[in-house]
Amino acid sequence: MNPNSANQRWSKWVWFVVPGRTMQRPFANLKENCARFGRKAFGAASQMCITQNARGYIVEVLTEGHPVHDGTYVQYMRAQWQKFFEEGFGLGTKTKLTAKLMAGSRQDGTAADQMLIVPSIRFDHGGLTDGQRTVRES
Amino acid sequence: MANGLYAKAKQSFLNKTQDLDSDGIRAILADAADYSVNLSTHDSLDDVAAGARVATSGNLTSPTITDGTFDTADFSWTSVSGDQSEQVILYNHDGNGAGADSQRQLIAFYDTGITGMPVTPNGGNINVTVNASGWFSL
Repeated sequence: MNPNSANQRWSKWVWFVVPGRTMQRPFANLKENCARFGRKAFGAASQMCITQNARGYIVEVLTEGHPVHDGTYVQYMRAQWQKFFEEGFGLGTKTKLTAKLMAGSRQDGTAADQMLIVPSIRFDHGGLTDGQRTVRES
Repeated sequence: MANGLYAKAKQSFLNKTQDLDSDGIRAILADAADYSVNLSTHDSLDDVAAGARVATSGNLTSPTITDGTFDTADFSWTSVSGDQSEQVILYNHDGNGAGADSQRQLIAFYDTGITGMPVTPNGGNINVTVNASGWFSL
């Protein structure tokens, strides 16, 4: 995947969700429902990450092909997801959406944004990936 | 080369001379044509030629250390122009009162497995998504 090739537009959508008090949901249930709704809203070619914190949940979606530079579209998505979260958690659920262009053109004459995704280094494997590990015998 | 931590950075962690969630940690977009990494011997920013530094971030926000994993929020290099770049370097900008490049400690080096690399700056922003597993785990 090269997100910086021509004619691609990648965007990141982040919802901060504070559930209403009426309906508590198991985390696994939330992840399943968000994944299902996300596939409908964004299509399958997207990545979703859901984390739980003391106040609620953070739902992050990295997706390709959506006009995040179009305020009307962002408003539409905000309304759809607000409805989804309210149906799941009940009235009083608060959501905050940030949507950001990660790669591609804003179609306003400015230079296109580009995106990098940096991998993580893990040293619990001696700094090596599984394929590089050797067995040390005593 | 492969991604890795600078040896002197590991030493400084053990000597508690770097505090990653308090010090100003920054990221550099670097040009492989002008910087040949040596993880064993390079220790400070003056080992990275100024000409190799295509863009430098501000202090990365929301740094966290959890169970040995260092993470920050995503960030952007804004209005970037210059040479095609292949590397990302993490360094400590102001730890221990550092005020010169020779005092700014190099931390981690990435040139492998970065989605979107190599990147050719076009004057626009380069948005960086930090791995969901953080920058590195010890």
